Amino acid sequence: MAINLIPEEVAPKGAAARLSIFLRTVSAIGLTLFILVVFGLTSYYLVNYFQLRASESRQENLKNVISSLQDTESSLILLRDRLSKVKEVYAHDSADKNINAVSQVFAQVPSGISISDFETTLKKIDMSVIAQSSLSLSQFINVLITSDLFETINLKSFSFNPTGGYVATLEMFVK
Amino acid sequence: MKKSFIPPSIQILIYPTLLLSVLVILILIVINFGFSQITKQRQAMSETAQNEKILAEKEATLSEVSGTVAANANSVSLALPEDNPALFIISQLKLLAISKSVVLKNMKVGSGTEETSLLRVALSFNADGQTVNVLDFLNSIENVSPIITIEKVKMSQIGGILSADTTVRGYWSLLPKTLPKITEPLKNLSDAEKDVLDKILALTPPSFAEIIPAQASARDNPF
Repeated sequence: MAINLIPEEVAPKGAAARLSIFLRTVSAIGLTLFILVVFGLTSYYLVNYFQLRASESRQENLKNVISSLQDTESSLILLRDRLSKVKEVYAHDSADKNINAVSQVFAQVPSGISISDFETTLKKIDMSVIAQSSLSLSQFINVLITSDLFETINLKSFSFNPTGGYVATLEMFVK
Repeated sequence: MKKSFIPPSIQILIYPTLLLSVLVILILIVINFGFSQITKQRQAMSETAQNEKILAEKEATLSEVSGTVAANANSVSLALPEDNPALFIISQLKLLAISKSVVLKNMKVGSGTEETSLLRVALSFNADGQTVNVLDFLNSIENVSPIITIEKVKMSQIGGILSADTTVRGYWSLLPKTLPKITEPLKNLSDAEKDVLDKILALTPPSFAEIIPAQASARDNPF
């Protein structure tokens, strides 16, 4: 049987003793958890650290490879730059489509029709046509309409000369 | 025995309370410091992973195009050169006119003008010939390199000969001066860019004559 030599008045009271035991237990559990958390955080940090180093090393290798392909990179950037500018050029208005349209019309001009003057700008085509008869003129107009090349065809002037025939001036806008 | 002023019920609580307080302070410090370090590390890892992905894509793109890009860049640089292409255009137009049996007259070159990032030069000339030939010539202008666009054509027929008073435009543009940073992404050409490239590759390039230096030969005796 254990003998308590502490004087009765010095011995802690029951509630204080229980609180002390509780605090010690909480401290012990807390310390254990703290050590575990520190260990976990350190491990996590170290794993990430090595992953980061490995990634940096891979990046350096890639940078070296890319540096060795610098000529290719310059060519690709030049190509891109030129292509974007060429797109700008093609986006500009040009009379090329008007010339294409007129060529198709010229290929289908019926007999008795002579195109005396023709002018194309970026936006429109002006054409003077001499027709020997009203039939050939109507055939020509029919060619223009059925070609489906023009959005608008305006008849700007129309005259008749007994020696030359019908003279029509047309203003056309390509689709 | 020396009697303490602190009651035993308090004394017994001092040590565990102190221990718990120190533990709480330590936990706060470690969590604060540890998590901030890990957050920084995660950010660095995220950036590194992003850079690595960009670099890998860039390396793959460059390796993929390395065989063809130089030739394509040359073709496109001929189509849209860095200097005024008026001389090339005149040469191309004359070659084209010969091939289409068209006579070019009154060739004039205007001064260069700047338009956004593009510079352009106007050339005017008269193309005379049979109607079919002149139209064929005008239609073929868009198929030569450097790129030429027709601005204006005025045609008149005199005695079965068509005379086309034509104004065309040639373009050039300054080259890019700097390369992007190594970590900037670089992608292969888009479909739209490939379409434009195909169009340019189909153009007839200017022909360059190479003058071969004459071989050394024995001099005749002048006496």
